[in-house]
Formats: sequence, C-alpha cells, structure tokens
Amino acid sequence: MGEERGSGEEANKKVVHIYPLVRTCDMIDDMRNEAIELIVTACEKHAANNEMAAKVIKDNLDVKFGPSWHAVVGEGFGFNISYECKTLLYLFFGGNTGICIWKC
Amino acid sequence: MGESVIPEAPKLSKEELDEQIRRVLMPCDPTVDQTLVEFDFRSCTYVEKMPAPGILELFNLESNVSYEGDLSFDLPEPAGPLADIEEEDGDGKNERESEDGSGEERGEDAEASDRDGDTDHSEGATVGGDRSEEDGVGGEGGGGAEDGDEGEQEDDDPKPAAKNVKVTRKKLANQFNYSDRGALTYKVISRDESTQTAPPPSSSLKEQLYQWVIFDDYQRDYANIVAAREKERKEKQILARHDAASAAAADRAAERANSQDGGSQESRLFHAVKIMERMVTQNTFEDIAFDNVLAYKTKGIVCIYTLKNPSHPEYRFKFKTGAQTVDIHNKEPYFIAIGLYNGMVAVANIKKGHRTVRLESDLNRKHTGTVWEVRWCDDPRDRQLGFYSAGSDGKIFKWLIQGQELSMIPVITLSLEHEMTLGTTMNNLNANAQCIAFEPNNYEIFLVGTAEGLIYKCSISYSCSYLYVYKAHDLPVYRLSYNPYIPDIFASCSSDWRIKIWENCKPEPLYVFDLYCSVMDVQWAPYSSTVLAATTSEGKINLFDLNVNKNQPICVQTITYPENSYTTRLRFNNKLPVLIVGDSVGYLVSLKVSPNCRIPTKATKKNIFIEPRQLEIMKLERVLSFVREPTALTSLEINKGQNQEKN
Repeated sequence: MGEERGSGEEANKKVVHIYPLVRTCDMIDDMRNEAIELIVTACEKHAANNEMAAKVIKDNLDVKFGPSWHAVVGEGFGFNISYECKTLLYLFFGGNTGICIWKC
Repeated sequence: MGESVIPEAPKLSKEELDEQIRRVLMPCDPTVDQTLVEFDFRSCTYVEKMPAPGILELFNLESNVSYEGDLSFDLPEPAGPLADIEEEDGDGKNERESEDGSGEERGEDAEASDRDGDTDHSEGATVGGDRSEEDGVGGEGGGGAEDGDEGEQEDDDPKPAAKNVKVTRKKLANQFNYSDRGALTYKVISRDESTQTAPPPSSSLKEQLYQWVIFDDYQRDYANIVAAREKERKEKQILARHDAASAAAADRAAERANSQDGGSQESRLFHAVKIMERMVTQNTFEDIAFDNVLAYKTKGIVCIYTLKNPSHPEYRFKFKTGAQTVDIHNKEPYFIAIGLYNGMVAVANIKKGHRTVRLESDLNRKHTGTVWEVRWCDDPRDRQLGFYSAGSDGKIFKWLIQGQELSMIPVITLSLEHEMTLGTTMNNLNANAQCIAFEPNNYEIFLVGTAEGLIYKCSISYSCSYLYVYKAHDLPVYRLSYNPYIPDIFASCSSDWRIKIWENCKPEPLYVFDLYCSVMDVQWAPYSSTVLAATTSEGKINLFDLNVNKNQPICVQTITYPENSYTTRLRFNNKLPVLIVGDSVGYLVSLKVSPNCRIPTKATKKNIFIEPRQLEIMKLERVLSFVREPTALTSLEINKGQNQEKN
C-alpha cells in the first residue's frame, strides 16, 4: 500500500499519464488501432467497473473480428495464456489499468 | 370308413379275392373303334376317318341355390359350388367336420411357418392359409355350424385367425387379374472419413501485472517521447543554421558579382532568373499545355502571359483608363491592338529588341464612347497594318499604323432604324455597337452586334447601308463569332440568356440555346466545326457540341470565383484545345478541353481519304441539315403565298 501511495504521489508531482500504452502487441496495424480505440472507449465508459468493461470489449471484439475473444481488465493480475498469433494485445490505460485481449 | 358306408358286399372266395385284377384307366373311349378308314375316290387311297367324339352325357343338373350376402366376398369363391354339390350328395356331417379340422390344422401349420420364416415368403403362406379358411367357410355355410367353428378357431389361436380373415378379405377383392410384384432398391453404401486442418499458429504469453509495472512503463515511454522531441528540435536548429549560412554566402556572392560586372551581368542574371522561374512554375503546373497565349485584364492594365509561366506576366502595359479589349495580329503576333474605355485605341509592339513600343490614338480622333472591340484586319490592299474598332457611339473606325502614329478612317456609322427609335425627333440616334466580327477569308464583310439586340451585316465598301439586319436578341449582343469552317454560320450571345446560331441572311436562327443567365461570351472552337464554348455571368463555362447533343451542353464547368464576380471573356487557343477565361475581378483561368469532348471526326468510309477540314465541314453540314428548312418546301410555301395573293 505504501508503495502504491508513493508511486501515486510521484505521478501527481510529475505528469499523470492516461494515454493507452501498448506493452505487447502482434496485431496488424488496422486491427490494432481499432482494438485500442475500442478498449479506450469501453474503459472510459466503465471506469469503475472492470467487469463491465471487459464484457463490452469482449462482445465488441467478437462482433468485429469473429468469435472467441478473451479480455482481461484489471489493476493487478497474472496470466499464462496461449493465443492465436496476430491476435494479442496487452496494453495499459489510464495510468493504473492493464488490459489484455487475445483470441483462442 | 369304407365298411361303414357300404351296406353289403358280395361274398367272394379266397381265389377270387387273391386274383389280381388290373384295371387301366384310359384317356380315350375303348369302345370306339380308332382304326376306321374310308376310301377316297378322288385320290384313290384309304384315308383315316376321325372317330366321333365319345362323350356321353349321363346327368345334368342346374343349381338352384342362391346366396344372399356380400357378393364381393363370395362370388369368386371356387369352393362354394363344390361344397353345394357335396352336400347334395348327402355325405355325413361328421366327415365334413373332420375334413374341416384337418384343413384348419394345415392352415395353422402354415401360419406358424409364416411367423417363423422371412416376411418375403408371407405371400405364399397367406395364400395357403386362405384356401384352408375358405374350405372351412364353405363347409360351415353348408352345415350351418358357423359359430362353433369360429369359437374353436378363437380358442386355438385368436390372433392369427383374425389376421387371416383380415388379409383374406383384402386379397380376394379381385382374384383373377391380381398380381403382386416386389423390388428392392440398391443399398447406399456409407463410409466414414475424417480429416483435420492444421490448427492456427498460436503462441503463449506469461506475465504478472502490478501497479508498479504500469507506472514504470509509462515513465519509460514518456522519457522516450521527450527525448525524441528534443532530438527533433536540435535537428531543426542545425538545419536553420545551415540555411542561414548558405543564404548569407549567396548574398555575399551576388553582391560581389554585381559590384564587379555591372549592368550586362545584371541583365544576364535577370534572364537566368526568368528561365528559372519558368522552370519552377512549369514543374508546378505540369498538366497545363504549353504555348504562348495572350490574356488581358480590364482594369487599365494589359498583361501578356505565357502558359509556361502563369504566375507572372511577361509584359505589362498600364493605361489611365480601363482597357476593354485586345486583339493579337494573326501573322505578326507581336502587334497587339488595345481598345480603351475612354474611346481611344492603342497598339503595342512586343517584338524583341523593340522594347515595348506603344502607340496611342489622338485625343481628337477617337470614339466618343467606350471601345468594345478591336479586330485586326488583313486587307491585302493596305500596305500598313490596320485594325478596326467598334465603339458605343455606333461608329466603326479603321486604324492604320503609319510610322509612329495611328491614322483613322471612318468606316460606317450605325444608325437605328425608324422602328426602333422612340419618336421622330430621335431619328438620327446611333446604335450602340458592342461587338464586331469579320468573316473569315473575306476582309470586306463584317458583323456588328449592338446593345439594342440587332446584328448588322456590313461591308467596308458601303459606308451608309447594311447588307442585312438580324433582329437577333432582346438585350445587348455581347459577342459574335464566325464558324471557322463554314463562314456562312455564326453564333451570337446576349444578356437575354440565349445563344443563337445563324446562317447568312436568314431571319430565323438555326439553333437557340437558353442558359438561364446572361451569356457573356461565345466562341467557336478552332479544332472542330461543331463545338462552341460560352461563358455566363454565373461563372459557368458551357461547351456545346452540336454533333453530340443539339439541346444540351456536353460539358458545364463551374469556375469557383470570389463572390460578386462574373466571367467576361473566353478565348480558344488556335492550336491547342485550351480555353482561357477571364473574369470581372481580374482572374484568369485556363482550361484544357477533355479528350472526351474533342474526339476527332472519322470518315464514314475507310477507303476514301478526305481532308480533315473537309470532314469537319461535312460534319457541320450534316448537323445543320436537320434544322435547315428544305429548299423545296420553302419554295412551295412561297408559291402558295403568291397564289393566295393572286386570289
């Protein structure tokens, strides 16, 4: 907790970054841009409800790129996934949320 | 069985009993002689005689028994009559019953085998069962012990019996021509097969997400961005410094050059710079066709542009009043005639070396109104160059260049006709000449359009009368243009929204186009006999091709101008399909006619070679033949009119 508070204070001192920061991605550019846009929209809409955000992301991705997408939205989690190539996007958004989407 | 039936038997001795008596049943009557012959006298031989048929009727009894009931069931019954006969014989009832029983048993056996065996054989089995059943029924009908019999059947095996009865009723509907046939279709052989596609390539990712991971990532990314920005800025600075240094060096060099070499160097530099500018603009306007073209402005400045460099005029002449019109000499294109707003005319010579000679007309000898149009003439009788000018005072002047002066010769004064004037006192009112056009290949004949809407056809030989007057328009005629291929055809445009195409000395136009706003200028295209372009006060260029469409323009191009301006002039390039359009604010737009709008004319028959010019003339003639009144008809009408007059 202490650590978290410390980091938050540091961020406040400097700049609070809220833009989407892609950590890992192997999508093609078009898909990637669309997915990022979708994620940003969903996370902004459901800022307090990660579950809802994940649901929205998953549903929209299923409609856009075909079914069986998985989405994880959270502030702290671990995962070990196997995914279909060219469908992984792992990014941070809003300074404290991690979003991982993949298709399998 | 035999003993009980036969009441008494003759007593025989043992020998007699042992004696074997052979009896042979013969198919023929042994009493009839089979070997009778007859002598045939015709053939003189013995011929075998056929024996008489040896049938003797011993007893004949017609049946008088009738059946009341279901005919369909009983009529085909073969056992019925037999049973009747047997009954009449008076045989014991027991005997019949025992027979029935045995039949019954046989039926049952058959039934059992049916049930055990395949259904395929059921047909024959049921038939057998039927027979036995029929026998039973027949006996019962005779004996009247129906109930007992049926009861027995039911006790033994009620189900098959019921089934039998059912089946029997169906089968016996028509026993004589009934046939049954069975067939088996081929079996479809099914087979199982399975494949599996390669699964899409996949890989795996394993990570742990904590808040500090996110934070660190953001920090790193931000640092990168900042660094990139810094770098960019530094590069820019370096570039700017380089530019400044090189510019300074160039300046210094130029200064040095100027101070050292003086005037001749300067002019050479100017020339080089000019070429450079041309190159630059040429690259910018790569699509525009290249040829020298004149353009004009109406604000007291005449500018001469070349298409090679549309950004800056080659030459520029300033006048105190507005320059209304210009014309370039056909054969000596460095002579430019200019008509001014104050009624004066001027000539500029831009021949290289002459350094822009300007001649202006005398203040005393000039039009008393605006000069609306000037036209060079190529009168072979004149030694000097000359041009005509039309002014709003209704006068046409001819100007000749004599040395450094312009000499004026009045050609004609256009006066309004009596009908057009408002009262008798205004008889000598002059027409307001708006435009002038010379017939191609004929320096004598010209047309003048006036603000009153009339078009006068004049000749330079007659100074007070006209050859013809067209009552063309209701409002000022702005422009007249002769067809370059057939000089009998010309077009006029007016602010009454119309373009009209006329034929020489015909009171009615051949074609009328309504453009729904003032038509400022109209020109025939030099490349085709049927194409003409018009510009309107709405800033639209309308391109007509009579050969393609006789009612509508084939192309309408709106030129986006600043507001409150309208297009005034339009001119075709003589060689290239390029249009130049000027507007009231001083903008010039050059347009290239799309290749779709100028498809060259082709000869109808391939073998005959016709000159392109001749082809064009033929094309126009064909188009015009649709609207020209047939000569025969007109003459007829004239005759009719004469006849009526006579009557």
